[in-house]
Amino acid sequence: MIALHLLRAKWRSLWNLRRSAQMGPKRLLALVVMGTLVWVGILAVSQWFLGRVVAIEPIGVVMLRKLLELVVLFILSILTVSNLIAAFSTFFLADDLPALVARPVPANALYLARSCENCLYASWMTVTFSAPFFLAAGLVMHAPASYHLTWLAVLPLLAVIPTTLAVIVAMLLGRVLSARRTRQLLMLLATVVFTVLFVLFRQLEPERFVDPEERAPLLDVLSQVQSSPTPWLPSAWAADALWAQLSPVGQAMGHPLLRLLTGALALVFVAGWVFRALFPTAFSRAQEGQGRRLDERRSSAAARPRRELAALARALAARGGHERPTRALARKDLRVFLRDTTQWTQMLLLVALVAIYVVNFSYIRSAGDSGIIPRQGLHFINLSLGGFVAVAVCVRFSFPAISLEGRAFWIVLRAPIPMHEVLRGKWRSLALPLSSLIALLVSVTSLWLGSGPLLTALAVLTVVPLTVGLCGLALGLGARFPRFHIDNAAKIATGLGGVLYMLGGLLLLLTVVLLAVAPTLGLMQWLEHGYIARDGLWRGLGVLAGVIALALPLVVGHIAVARGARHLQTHGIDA
Amino acid sequence: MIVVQDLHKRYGDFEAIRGLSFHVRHGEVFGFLGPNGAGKSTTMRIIAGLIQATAGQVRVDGHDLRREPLRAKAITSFIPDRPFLYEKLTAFEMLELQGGLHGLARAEIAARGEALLRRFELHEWSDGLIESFSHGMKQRLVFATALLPRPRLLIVDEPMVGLDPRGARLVKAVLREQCEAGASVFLSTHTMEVAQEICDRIAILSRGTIAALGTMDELRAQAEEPGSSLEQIFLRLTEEAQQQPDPRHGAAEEPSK
Repeated sequence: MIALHLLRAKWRSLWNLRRSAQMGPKRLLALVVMGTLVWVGILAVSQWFLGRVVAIEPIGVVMLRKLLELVVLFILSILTVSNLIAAFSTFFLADDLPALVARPVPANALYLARSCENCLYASWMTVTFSAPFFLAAGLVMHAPASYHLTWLAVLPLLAVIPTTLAVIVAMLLGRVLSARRTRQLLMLLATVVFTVLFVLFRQLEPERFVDPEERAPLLDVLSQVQSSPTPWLPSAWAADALWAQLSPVGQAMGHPLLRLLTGALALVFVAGWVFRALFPTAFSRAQEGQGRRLDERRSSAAARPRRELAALARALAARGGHERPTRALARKDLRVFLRDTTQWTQMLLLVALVAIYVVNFSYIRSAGDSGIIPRQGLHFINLSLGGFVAVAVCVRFSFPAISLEGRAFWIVLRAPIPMHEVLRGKWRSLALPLSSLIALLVSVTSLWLGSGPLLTALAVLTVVPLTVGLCGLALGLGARFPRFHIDNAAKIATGLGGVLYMLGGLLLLLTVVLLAVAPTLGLMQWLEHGYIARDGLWRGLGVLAGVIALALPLVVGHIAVARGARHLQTHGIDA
Repeated sequence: MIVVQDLHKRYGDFEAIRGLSFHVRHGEVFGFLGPNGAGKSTTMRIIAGLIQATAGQVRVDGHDLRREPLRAKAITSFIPDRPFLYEKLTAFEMLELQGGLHGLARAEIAARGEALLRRFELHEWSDGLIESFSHGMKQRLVFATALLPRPRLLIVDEPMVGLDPRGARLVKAVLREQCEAGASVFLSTHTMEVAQEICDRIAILSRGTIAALGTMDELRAQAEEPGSSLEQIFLRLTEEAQQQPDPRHGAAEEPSK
């Protein structure tokens, strides 16, 4: 009962968001409408794609089985990572925790309320936007109602398991490490878990189904379907449970749904036991973490070289000339980035993302080698995937750049420099490393695909202004919808502004890729045959499309940055 | 130094400031008092350039805040009630940032920064990360950064919050020194003794408008309580207003009716 009471308070806070200045009924409605559109879009695309997969004779249905397993494993990976990242804040750092711990709240009630909160916060988005995929699979296979009831039960159970694991890990780490270290380690662990699950994902080898040389005989495929490479993972139980309702082919042994349910319940009890045993000490350590540092540094001999370095830096600072405001801000950003280890873990996520991107290219290369996708097609797929990585990287690094200034942003607002100069400075310092990274990524994969130096150069030429523009779009929308009170970069992008950026970024990517088609194909034809089979007008339009493809992202970025600056200037810290 | 004319600030249908008008002279300490929610911090943030007014005009040393905000900001420093700083910077780096934002010479930042850290008894911690500072240390560091660009107007919201008696005495001395050097100080406080001790003139704000304004003697005359303390005057002037319904709710709709 007390757990419900605690959850009710959270629910009321959420419900009252509709009255807050930050959200308001109009923004809430816009968010719901956009969310519904995205949901319906995923359903339509999934239905179209799964329909095509099932139509491949004679292994279409079997491929669907494998796809289901892949998607469930992917969902489990995402849920594990997000639950691990959220657990530390939920159990140790939340503002309301000291007040709750100081009251006579039973440990079980606190555990259940906090676990539910962690589960809902970390899982709602993944669960909501993965649901249309399962609905589409049912529609394509004309599944009975029992299938739909099964996926409705499977998704929450899949969310509960990572939550309980996150509770156990957070308590164990909190028991032995300080607050700061636990948070950093949890972020690191989340990346490691994601990478491990990705390796398992790779074990499923989806490319084998499209590679004609490696395509296994049907009987082999069928036997493979019946034996999952990860039978001990909840994702395999979930996939088995779903498949049992979808098709009589390749049924798993036993009662997979029961296995999933009992597994989740057992973990809820184990996590509760661990929570009761470790939370009081772990919470106490988390509270102690902050105060000791000053004395430690004061007495530590290790502080000496640091002081000498500081003295040297000060001597350098005292050299002649005036300090430029934008340079002072850029130096501050660099210092904060280098010292804030939570931002480094963002880098680890970035490395994981890039690694996944590169490894997955074996799938695309196989499709190219087998002739399923032509060479020009590979170029545009490479461009699109590189652009997609750019969209994802910018939402992590560029979108939160203003919000991460936090409550200290009043210092910048107070400074006698125009806000558009502040934002342009940030745009420059973010666009350079991010566009270099994406250019490197796209050029390496382009060469790997055998596109040749010219197509590679063309890919880089297209993707660099696109990344610069995406960076500006993310920064501008981040300034238009700032969240100064949130210190977690991953959480900052989950609001209306983040959703708008993702939709706008993907639309920009799609537009640029489409605009690049005609000039790229024309150039390739000219290089291969020495002429372009189009008349002057078409050639002119092709050149124009190419110029727009290069200029459009820069214009979009510029407008977004200018609007974001104007919003901050007008609304100040009320923004 | 500051001229405020018919200032209004609305948040939705709540009018936090209702037609405020006053001025602050060169070289004076001007106190801004009022109960919680009277609109003190909102007014100060508008004058500091952190938020924009809904209507009305603010001029700082002749510069209109809407048309020349950067010129006004260049001669003003603001000290908020809560010292939010970049926690991952050291104390000296914070001063360096402030100097850079004001385009000061590097040599001046180094020399004056060192002197200010010494003045606010932070020189021992100049290389320490701000995240390890106590609330009082952060508050003193905010004062040091605010004084670095030699402001002609110092806007101080609740200067004594989180300071120990020694720190409070230091801050009072610094504020008086600023005035003696020709700068103006515009401060809000809930500590009546501080206001009575260091302010040349005081405005008492109640529900978004000025209930009384003047020197201590003028306030006593307005409150018709000769010989009374500032606390008595404050309670007398604000309690009457508190008995009435707050006219600021739903104020935005009124003009259209």
